[in-house]
Amino acid sequence: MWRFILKRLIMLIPVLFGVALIVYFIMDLTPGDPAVIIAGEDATPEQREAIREELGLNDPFIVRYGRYMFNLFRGDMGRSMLSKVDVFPTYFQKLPASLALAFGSIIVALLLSIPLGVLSATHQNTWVDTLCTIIGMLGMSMPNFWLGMMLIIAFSNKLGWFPSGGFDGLKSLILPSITEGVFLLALIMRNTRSSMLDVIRQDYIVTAKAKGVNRRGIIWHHAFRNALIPIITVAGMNFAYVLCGPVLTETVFSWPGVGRLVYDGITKTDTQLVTGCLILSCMFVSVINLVVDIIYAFVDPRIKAQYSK
Amino acid sequence: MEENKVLDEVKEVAEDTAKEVKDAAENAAAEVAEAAEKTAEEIKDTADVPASEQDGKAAPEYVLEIDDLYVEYDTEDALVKAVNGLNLKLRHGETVGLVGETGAGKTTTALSILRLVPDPPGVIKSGSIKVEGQNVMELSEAAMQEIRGNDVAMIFQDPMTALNPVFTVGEQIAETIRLHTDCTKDEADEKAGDMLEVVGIPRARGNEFPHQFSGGMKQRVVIAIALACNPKLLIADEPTTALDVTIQAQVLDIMRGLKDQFNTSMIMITHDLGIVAETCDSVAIIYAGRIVEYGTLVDVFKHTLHPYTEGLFNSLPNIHNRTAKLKPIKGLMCDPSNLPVGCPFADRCNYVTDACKEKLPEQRYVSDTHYVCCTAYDDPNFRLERSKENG
Repeated sequence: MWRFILKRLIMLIPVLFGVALIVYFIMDLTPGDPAVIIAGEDATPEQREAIREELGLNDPFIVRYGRYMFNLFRGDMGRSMLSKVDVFPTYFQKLPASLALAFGSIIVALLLSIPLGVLSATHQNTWVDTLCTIIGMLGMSMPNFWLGMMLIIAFSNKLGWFPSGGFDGLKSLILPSITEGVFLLALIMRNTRSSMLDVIRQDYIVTAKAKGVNRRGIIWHHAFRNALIPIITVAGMNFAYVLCGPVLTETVFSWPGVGRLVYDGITKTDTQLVTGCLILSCMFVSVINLVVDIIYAFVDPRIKAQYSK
Repeated sequence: MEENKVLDEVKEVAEDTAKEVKDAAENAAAEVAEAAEKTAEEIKDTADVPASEQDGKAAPEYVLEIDDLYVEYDTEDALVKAVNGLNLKLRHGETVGLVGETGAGKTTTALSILRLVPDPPGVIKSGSIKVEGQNVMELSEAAMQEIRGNDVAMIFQDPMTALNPVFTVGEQIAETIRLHTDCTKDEADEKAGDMLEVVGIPRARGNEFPHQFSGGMKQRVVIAIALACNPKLLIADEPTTALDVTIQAQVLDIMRGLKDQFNTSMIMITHDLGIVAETCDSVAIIYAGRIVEYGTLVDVFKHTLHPYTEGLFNSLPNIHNRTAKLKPIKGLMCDPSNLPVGCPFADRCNYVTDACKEKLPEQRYVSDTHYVCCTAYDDPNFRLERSKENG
């Protein structure tokens, strides 16, 4: 098990290299000139040229990439071309808000999706199931920026229960978490339903029934644990997604998260900032995936056995 | 000349005597048969009296009584009549073999006893199933859970899928024990270890998961789970079908040993007549959801009555004549969603007459222990080819 974790962490290194290369390359292809943005529309060509020279933008791609990687190895992620602030602290300044939103939305989603999904599966083809299906379809098809705005209108403007934006304590977390969580809720609920339906038709469920296990024991003890794997997969993937920045939700709620930071960087062709942030985000995604894989091992002994091989 | 005359006289006398003896024997035989029939009826009558009406506390004679059971699967496409008026009685310690081809209603019958027929689409339409004199049809779900795994346990066909992959085998055995006996977790684990040893698996392997066991070992674990609470009735649903032949023998040995040790009654569901011959006391041949022939092992194997049973025996390879071709039963089992009015076997039967297709044949007892459902026996001289050979 420990060897598996170590192996996965070591494998992370080439992955991050790859990410750095791809992101740096794509940013290079992106139209737009940081010098124009920094110097402003009115600057003379000479001023722009000076800025380019200062930032080293005139060097060939391979030189710039080499320099970036060299600095990265020394632990220096560089500075934002625009704000001149170091990328590393900038990212970690935005991270708490993103983490809060990621946890908030996953909690909202899991609290409701699992009971509803299980209920839906155990009452297949009844009105309960139909109702859950409708909730699921609504949740998945509703654009979340629209839902966010509706929530702000209802609970912030009209009722005044929650703030309409910004990250300031638990209260400010609720509306964005719901906005981001509803889609997740629908997704995990549908996954839970199909996974449970699959499991309760297995032979070992009949065995458990024949042992005299009651309905609750069948559903939660025998079936649910077997149904967990696909649920964990979906939940983990979406946790990573929210962590890396759901730009729309962050924009609607003026949420100071990673998503908007990266979005701003991309629109201003701030290669240093974007590459740095994406490398860090990628690292977090990989770690989350690793955590998901470790959770698998605790849920299913067959997977654990594979890890030790 | 005189010598010849004397000889003829002697011959005549001898013939007369022989005739007398024969008549007497025939009369005696008829009397015995009559008496036997009477006894059989008496036995039947006693059995028909519900256990509660017999002298109160005495344990019921039968561990299982299935009476006129009808089970249907109501699917969107068709109404599948899986079990159609099945009757079966099982004494304590007795093993009955339930033999029939795929789709005959064997497993449905077994699941009905535990009330585990998948619902929907399965519905137990009518009939009664009494376990130890208690009608399981009338019990609450909670009372049913008490019976499952405790009074009646089941061994399933495919050990590969019958165990929960996320729990250790020890946990899975201990679960049954904890559900049905008042004991601590440690005591249950201890007992689970004992059960593993009973089926020939080292105690220490209780901490392992099903995927770490081979098929035969898994089936032993399934047997250990089934026997953990010392059930009165064990239903084995094709317990060896998924196993290879050498492992089959081992598993059957274990089952037979444990059955004797715990005096468990058993229903052995199979389509393998060899297994029946090895393990069973009596045999029920099931066709289209009804028992078409029932009797002791000797009754059914030596004095086969039903054409279907004969067909099953003919489908077996003949060890004495290795060049003989198998004689499979022609045709397919009738569609259980569209059963004929008459005998469901009529279309495949070698002895079929018009009478067969008119009405469902009724149970006809030929001895205390042996009955057949076949219209052909309306003719008292009717005999199967197989019976003629067996003499």
